[in-house]
Amino acid sequence: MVKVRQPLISTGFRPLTLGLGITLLLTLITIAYSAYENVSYVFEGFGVGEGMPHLNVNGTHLTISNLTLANRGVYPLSIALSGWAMIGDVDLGSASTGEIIIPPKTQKQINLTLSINLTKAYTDYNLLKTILFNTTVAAFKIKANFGFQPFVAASFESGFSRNIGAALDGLTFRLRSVEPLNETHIKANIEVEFTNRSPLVVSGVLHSSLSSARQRDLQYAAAPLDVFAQPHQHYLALLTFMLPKGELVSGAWYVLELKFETFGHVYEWRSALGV
Amino acid sequence: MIVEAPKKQSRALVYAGRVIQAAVFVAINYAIFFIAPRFFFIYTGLITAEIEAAISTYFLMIAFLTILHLLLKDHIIGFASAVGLGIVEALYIYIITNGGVLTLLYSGFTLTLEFKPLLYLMMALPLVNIVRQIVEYVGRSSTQPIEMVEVEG
Repeated sequence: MVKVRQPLISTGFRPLTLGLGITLLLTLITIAYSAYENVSYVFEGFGVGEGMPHLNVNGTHLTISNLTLANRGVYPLSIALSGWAMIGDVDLGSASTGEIIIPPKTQKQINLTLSINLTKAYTDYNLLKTILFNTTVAAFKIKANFGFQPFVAASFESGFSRNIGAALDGLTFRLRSVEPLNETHIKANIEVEFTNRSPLVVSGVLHSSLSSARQRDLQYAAAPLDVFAQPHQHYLALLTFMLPKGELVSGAWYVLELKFETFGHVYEWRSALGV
Repeated sequence: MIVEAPKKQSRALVYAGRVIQAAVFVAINYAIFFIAPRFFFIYTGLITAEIEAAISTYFLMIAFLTILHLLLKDHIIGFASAVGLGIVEALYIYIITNGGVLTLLYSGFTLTLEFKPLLYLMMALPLVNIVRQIVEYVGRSSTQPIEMVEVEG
């Protein structure tokens, strides 16, 4: 029996398919081997505290240091670390190491320092208002891009958050003393107290006025108060009002009109004052 | 002068061989296209009802086309099945790997894997097979095999 021979192009497909199959198999095996070697190295190292990164967050910097990575696989290991810090929707800062290539059988130490620019929070009126009076959440995100070149790229993303206390936490106005000034007027000293629980420096001018209880549309203004409080500082100051005698009635409640000028913004609100 | 008649294999024997071959290939496909992806998706926690349904549906299609291709090798249906098998396999690989991008979520951590070069390598096998089947079929139909009787004398 004589058989017709298949064309050369047709017979060439068999070795091509076989070659592709072998290539795919070898690639999968070597990638699996490299992944296993590197992952086991990371876990072994972290288990004994070797190569563990130090994560440090202070008021203005987030630092990841001494992250030591070794590539025990057969492919070049590419790694890039990046980080972001945000309050609400405002980006306070970001940083990246750029792409670091670790050739097979070598190791590298990676450091990442993220500068947090808290003054960016001042640019947003609503955010600054929230920061002044409420506890807010600062979110930190860390992303690691790594891969076995050129076949697999992976990205690992994680984050954590820290509570940031109110800049004017526990803001209270309390009548401290009333002193006679002359025959017609008295001097009322009102204590202003708060604790700056944020990492921001509180700096501004507080304008205050007291509505008259006897005459409508009449207000008494106190001298503007320069407010400056470092992070975690307890602030205590006095607002002094010159009032006609008989304006303050014991047991009554008054309305304090307040304006706080800070970083180009003016916040207005009212506060109750018990006498 | 000896006249030797061509050896003819029994049709039943041929089909029995093909059935065994089909069973072996279905078993291999079961491991590659059903057990392996299912195990991967269960292990990574990515398994959903849709993925499970996709795995089952595509595997049934692959198994059916494999059987059809191997049993009807000499028929146009066998050729069409082989081409269809290649297309289904390539499509299945693309769909099940989400185009070479998989995202795994673990309590606060997100791991995204991108393996497009590997995906194309995986898809190349069935696609090359489609081309091979077409080339072989065209070559076979243009040059019909001739059975000749050799006469020694």
